[in-house]
Amino acid sequence: MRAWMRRPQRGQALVLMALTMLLVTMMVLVTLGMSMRVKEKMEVQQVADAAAYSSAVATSRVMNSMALLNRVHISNMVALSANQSLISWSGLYFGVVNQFNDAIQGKSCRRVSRYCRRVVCPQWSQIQAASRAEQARVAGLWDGLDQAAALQSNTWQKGVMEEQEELKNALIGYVFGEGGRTLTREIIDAATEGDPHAEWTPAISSSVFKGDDRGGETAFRRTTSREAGTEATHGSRGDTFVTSRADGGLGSHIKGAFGAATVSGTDSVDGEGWYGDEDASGATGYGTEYGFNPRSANARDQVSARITFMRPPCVELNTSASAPAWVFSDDRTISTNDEHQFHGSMGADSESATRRHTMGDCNSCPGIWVSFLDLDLDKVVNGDEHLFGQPKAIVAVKRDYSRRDENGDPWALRFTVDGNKSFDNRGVETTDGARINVQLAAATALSYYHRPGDDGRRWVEPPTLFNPFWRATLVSPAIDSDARPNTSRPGRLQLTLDRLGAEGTQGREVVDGLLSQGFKGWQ
Amino acid sequence: MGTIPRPVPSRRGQATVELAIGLMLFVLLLVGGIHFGEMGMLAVKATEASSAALWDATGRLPHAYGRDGLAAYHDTVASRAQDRIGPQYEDFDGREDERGRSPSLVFTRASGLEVTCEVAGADVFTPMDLGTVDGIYFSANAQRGVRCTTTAEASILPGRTPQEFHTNTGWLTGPILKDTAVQFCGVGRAWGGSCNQGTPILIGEWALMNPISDEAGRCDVYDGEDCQNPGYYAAVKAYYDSPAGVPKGEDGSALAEAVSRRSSPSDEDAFYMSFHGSEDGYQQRLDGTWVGRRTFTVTPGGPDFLGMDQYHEMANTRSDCWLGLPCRRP
Repeated sequence: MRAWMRRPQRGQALVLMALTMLLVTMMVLVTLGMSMRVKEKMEVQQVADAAAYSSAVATSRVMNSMALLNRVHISNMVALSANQSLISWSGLYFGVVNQFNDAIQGKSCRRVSRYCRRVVCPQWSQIQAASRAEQARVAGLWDGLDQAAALQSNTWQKGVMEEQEELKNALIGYVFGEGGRTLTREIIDAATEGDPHAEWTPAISSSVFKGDDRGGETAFRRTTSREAGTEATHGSRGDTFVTSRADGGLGSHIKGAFGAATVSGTDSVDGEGWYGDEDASGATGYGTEYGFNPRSANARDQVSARITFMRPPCVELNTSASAPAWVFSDDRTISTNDEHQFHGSMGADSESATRRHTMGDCNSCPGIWVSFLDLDLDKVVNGDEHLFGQPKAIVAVKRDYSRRDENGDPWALRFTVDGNKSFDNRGVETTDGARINVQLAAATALSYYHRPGDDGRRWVEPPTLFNPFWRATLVSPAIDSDARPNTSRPGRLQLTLDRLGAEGTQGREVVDGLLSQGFKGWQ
Repeated sequence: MGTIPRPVPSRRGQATVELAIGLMLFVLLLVGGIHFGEMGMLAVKATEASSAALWDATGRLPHAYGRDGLAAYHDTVASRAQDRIGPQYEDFDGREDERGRSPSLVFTRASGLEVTCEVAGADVFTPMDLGTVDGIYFSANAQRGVRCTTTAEASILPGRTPQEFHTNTGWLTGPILKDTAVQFCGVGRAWGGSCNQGTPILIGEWALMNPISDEAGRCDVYDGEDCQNPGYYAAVKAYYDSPAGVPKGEDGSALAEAVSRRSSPSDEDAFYMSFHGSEDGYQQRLDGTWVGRRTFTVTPGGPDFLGMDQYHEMANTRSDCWLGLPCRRP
């Protein structure tokens, strides 16, 4: 028998038992650690989902507010047309008074007979005095009131662009801004309140922004109402309130203002007040389609009035006032004139700003229409590529356990054997040194447009910033071409992950790898 | 003289003792392993329940467009989400049809899982400063959200912790373990003995969204505020009457009235709006016009919306399926 076989074997089972117990202990601890990791991963995903959805909600809130403002913009244009038509209408009266007064003062009563001297000429003197008085009355009040009305037009034309820009900037700063107290950070802070273990880092991007980053323009396009505004404005009140209105007493007042003179033809005061009845060549008429040339706007009133005082041989007055009055505002490619015309006056650019009747500056050239924010229409047609302009928000969240490297959980067993063999259940790094102390989660949400009703069949209605039907939902990142194999540029998911540093880049490589293999199971 | 042989210690029973000690350790580890596995499964359910409550909240009607502003229902949303998901997950089983008692597993017994949802106000979500339109129609309450969390406890022995189990007499005195009950939270752990208030989420997009109310209706210009969508009308008018709609006035009327010494022929800053959707070709039909044409596109999507004709193209190409994307047919 060999010597070693004769050695006592006492304690052998104890060693085996100890090793077995150690193995079982490690299995138990690993089970516990894995359970916690699964739960924590679910938590990261929950926070990412909540942040993405909340970002889409905030985006929808802003877009719905923008939509209400665009409706306000249309209503403003309706009011603007009313204002302009009243200025024109008043100018018409002033013009008629001027014309009649010119004619009346230009005629003298010939005292060629006793009848003329005793009857007609005194009458004529009264008419001349009344005419002068009326002309002086209107002229005396005209400037101040006309300027005030013109200023009001100017104010109304400023529109809603500033408010929409404020909304856009609020969205960018609060939801998509870097650092500081952003929406995603608030969600993370609330969800992880009191947690000493992990450091959370969010990254967010959105197709609210053109290109691949927030540095560029947004998907909201600054545009002008122009044709669209003409249509919507016209449809939001019609034109009869400026074109077929009662004369409001203008005609009867003209008659009364000139005493014994017979004034006829004032029963019909026609207004043409609407947007653009002159085309670019200056020809009058309802040109291109329905007569709306969106590059100009005017209010035009005309009356065919005639004043007669036929007392031959003393006085023979038979003259008409036919020149229309108008307030005409156009884009400056047609004319730089600021026209407020009626007989006896013609406003022009040489006049002070307060006398101008052009509705504001040409802030949306060419055209008198004011600017507003709309979806970027270059994006809306290709639904697959850009989902009809409906913006996505992508949130990636990193949970870094580096903070608990030294103070791990009780079950995070760690020991070293012989100085180089180690067991580490802390989830910090693998035996070959790879850091595994980070969990990543990403979520995608969409602000989408859907008008309710009709059993849900109103998806055909195109997304637009004219109605507050913007909702929010979580979607797959592959809902459009962003998360599909694309060699030309990385999608937003990858770009968002990239913002999370080295670990994010590892996540991005996983995404790229899945895409290259044709993976389609994105959630 | 012979020596008396020393008695050889008997080895009988040694293996039994070793086995007993070994088994105690082994069983302890086995029980612990099973217990921890069960705890892990239950903990995951706590997180799952809090997520379920959050997403239930997002599916509820958060507000309604009223004549006097947006009526926000965050309180109702939170309580209903809690009322539905709470009982559903009380037994740690998310299946709605399966209702039972709190689970008693092999070595783990759990208390009933409680779901708590509450309104997340300005202490969680800093209200977004919307500039000039801030607070118009949409009050500060409408900026709120909801947060949900779950709490549950599980212990190793059914119903009794070890200090209750032993008799505290003889050599075995004092508690073996102070407390074996472990608290689960929806997110994170019970730092300091209690769970945090859960993950918050913004609720309410301020959209017209109720399909069975007048929020789905059109707003004909002739009907004014009595249109089929009075909430929409009221919201736009609220903005129109605010500084956001630029200050209104009657300066044109003042001029006209002073000149003519009669009342103004039109209400200068009266509010008008028209909204029509696909059922009307996106157009308002007018009773009569000076220009002759009777129908005008008032919502992008209709014809003659020149300069924005992409909308018309979209209306013709979108499907009536989700997001307007092509319907997937089997």
